Amino acid sequence: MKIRGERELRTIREKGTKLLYPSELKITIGEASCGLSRGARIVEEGIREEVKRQKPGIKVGTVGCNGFCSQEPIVEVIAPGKPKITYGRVTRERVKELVQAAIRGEVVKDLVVFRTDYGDMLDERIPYTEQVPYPLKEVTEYHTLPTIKKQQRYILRNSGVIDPENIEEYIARGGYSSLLKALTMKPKDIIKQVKEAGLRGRGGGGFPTGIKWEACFSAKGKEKYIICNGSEGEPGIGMHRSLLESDPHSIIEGIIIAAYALGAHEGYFYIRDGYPLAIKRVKKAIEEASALGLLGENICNSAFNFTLKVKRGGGVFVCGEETALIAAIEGRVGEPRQRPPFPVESGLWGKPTVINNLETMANVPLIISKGSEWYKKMGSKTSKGTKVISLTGNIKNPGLIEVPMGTPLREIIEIGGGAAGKLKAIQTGGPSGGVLPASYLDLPLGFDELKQAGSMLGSGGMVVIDEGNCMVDLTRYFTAFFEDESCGKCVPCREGVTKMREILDEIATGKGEEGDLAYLEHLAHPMQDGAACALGKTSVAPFLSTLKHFRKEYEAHIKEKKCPSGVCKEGMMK
Amino acid sequence: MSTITINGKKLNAEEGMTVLEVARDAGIYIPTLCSHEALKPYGACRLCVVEVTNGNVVSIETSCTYPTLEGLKVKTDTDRVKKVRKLVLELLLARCPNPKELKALGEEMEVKEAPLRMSLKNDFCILCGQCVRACHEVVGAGAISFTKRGNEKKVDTPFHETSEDCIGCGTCVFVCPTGVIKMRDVADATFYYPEGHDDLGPMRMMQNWQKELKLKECKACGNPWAPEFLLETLAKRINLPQTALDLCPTCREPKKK
Repeated sequence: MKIRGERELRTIREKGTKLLYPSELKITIGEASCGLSRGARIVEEGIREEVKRQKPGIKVGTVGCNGFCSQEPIVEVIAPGKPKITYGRVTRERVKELVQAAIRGEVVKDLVVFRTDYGDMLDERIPYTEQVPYPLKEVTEYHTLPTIKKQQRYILRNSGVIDPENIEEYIARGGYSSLLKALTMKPKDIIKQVKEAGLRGRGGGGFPTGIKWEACFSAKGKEKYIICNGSEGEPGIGMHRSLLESDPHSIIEGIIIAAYALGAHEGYFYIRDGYPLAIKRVKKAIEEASALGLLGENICNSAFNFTLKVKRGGGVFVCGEETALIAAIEGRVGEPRQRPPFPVESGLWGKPTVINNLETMANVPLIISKGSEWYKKMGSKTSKGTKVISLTGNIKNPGLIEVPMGTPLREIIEIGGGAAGKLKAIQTGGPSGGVLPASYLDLPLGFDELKQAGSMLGSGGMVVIDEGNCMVDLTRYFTAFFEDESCGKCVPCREGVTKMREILDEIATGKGEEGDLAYLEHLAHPMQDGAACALGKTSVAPFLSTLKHFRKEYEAHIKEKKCPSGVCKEGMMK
Repeated sequence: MSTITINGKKLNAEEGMTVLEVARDAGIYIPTLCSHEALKPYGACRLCVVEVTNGNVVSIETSCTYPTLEGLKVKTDTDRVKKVRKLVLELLLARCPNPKELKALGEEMEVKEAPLRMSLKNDFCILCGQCVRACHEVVGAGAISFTKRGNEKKVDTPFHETSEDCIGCGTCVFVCPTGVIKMRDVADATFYYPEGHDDLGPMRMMQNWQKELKLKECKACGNPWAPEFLLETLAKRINLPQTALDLCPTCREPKKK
């Protein structure tokens, strides 16, 4: 069947709703990479075996990641007339008991994490049940959890709820209704709405998406391309991977809308090869969408044609840079070239090209569906909407969260349950970002706010650092990361980062000399000016921001040969 | 046509010109290492940086790649620019302390040697990429390219094996600013293979790319003058008959009477 309009979409939506709200018992397992690494596949096999033995006929399915990384593997039980029950840290040994309880309508008390009374679609709220039976009343409801209360999950709305390999469940949650709406609009109006909404690129630069689209729209040439950047290269970050694995359709829907607005008929989805599950699920999603006529020729009877291809990347950090990404897709070495001309004028194969991060794309259906006025209300003065954040480091409950822009950093850490030890600093924006000391906790989340403080929002990684960490050691780690990831094209980055790492190594091993800090600064400032691309320019950010806020620690290493945190041991005084 | 200002001087630029080209035409000196008039702009050495004011935005950009946008203001010798150039030279001198060309540039910019705290290497290749680009863009052979990345980057043939695509034209040798790429023609290569080979005859040796090419002898004077493979490739590319390149340039010229 092909979707030609509202009617067909509604038919599929009804089918999908039956899957999400089944009339029989259904057990689902969270199977994104996070769950799989904690043994979700073993638990799934166990559940299937138990179901066969105890009561064949119970449906067993998979969903994506719901963001509670610390609770993986997660199993959910949906019984008709009852709230959805979520179990965490399920092991193979507990599976028998769990399936038994599910059949009897009981709850395994020590494994249960929360219950869910209703599901939030894009446009409406559908309850699982009207009444909550007695034993479940004692279990906390999902929406009243302190961690969830403070969040606003729009981009992650489907993650962990739907089966990422089933388009019907995505449509049941309100999916592809934005596309239908967009196809009735004029391309110019779509761009205007995105511009008015104040959407800014989520890849790290924070460039206004509407302005980028406008520039490409008015660029000369009929042939235009659209590229979705799914190359996440920063260490300690996994939110884009999780989104790709849990809800690929929301990104694809955004890409199709963007392509329609720009008049592009061909698009590329660039995903790093290190994410095999993400590639598999995106490919499946593209197949499913094509089968329903949401991709390909004459999309939804609108005479608009668009094909989307998956391009696998080598996972190089610099290939997240626009021009390097284009080079990689064209089959050349992934090295950035000098701008201007910008890709919106001359990009892939020399044609006007828009490159957007996948999270930016996932924001587009939201804006089209709810309007720019609604979208603008969320966020800070210059940064609108929500931001998915990957909360890691020394934090009690690491995981994926989504908060509106403008949320103070303190609240974000509270969502994760607070720092494991005494909070020392927060590292934002991946290696290219910077380190902010605990005194900056009241800073609101936003592109310009963090930039002014000497860090950056980046793609939304947040590493919580407690007192057990040495800032010199941390800087050394990030600088070594840049040394490893430098493409080697321009002199300041290729040679300069190595020289910096060498001196940082010396400082960390007790061989630091007086004047080393001045020497490092002498290297860092011209490197910021002189390097060819954003990777080179920001490679000095870890050093400059730690020096600004933790100069004393550097001095202790150099003058007293002491590491205040006791991390650097080699060559240090005891 | 557009008008830009360099160091306060108003200059006209033709369409498609870069800031560097306009500056050179006007006699304004900007040092370069990786730029070559026969090659496309690359922007790797960062020595040609200038301070550009485009609208309200002031930034440091490479003049060899920057287009001449209308109303652009360029300064070639601000403090920020000088600092970047100095750093580039310090870093290059730490990598290659010996090439004369680098030393001369260093003296010009008051950088005698790399700072004491820098670790030194003794390389001769500054990775400007002129050889690689010439081989791809001008010759069209594509025999060499960059391998590896970051500080381990180097110019090499694919998999460090004898290149089948190298035609022995020597363009890489000609464009190399530090002279690290070497080539030599020998009258009898047999000398280099003491065991088992006899009578190899005149050959061209591309030492960096492990390639040896038989030289063709001129039909008239008998002097070896160019690699056979090079002449075959050329003849094929421009549709010349096999015999067209039998004579060396000297014998091809009409004799003066």
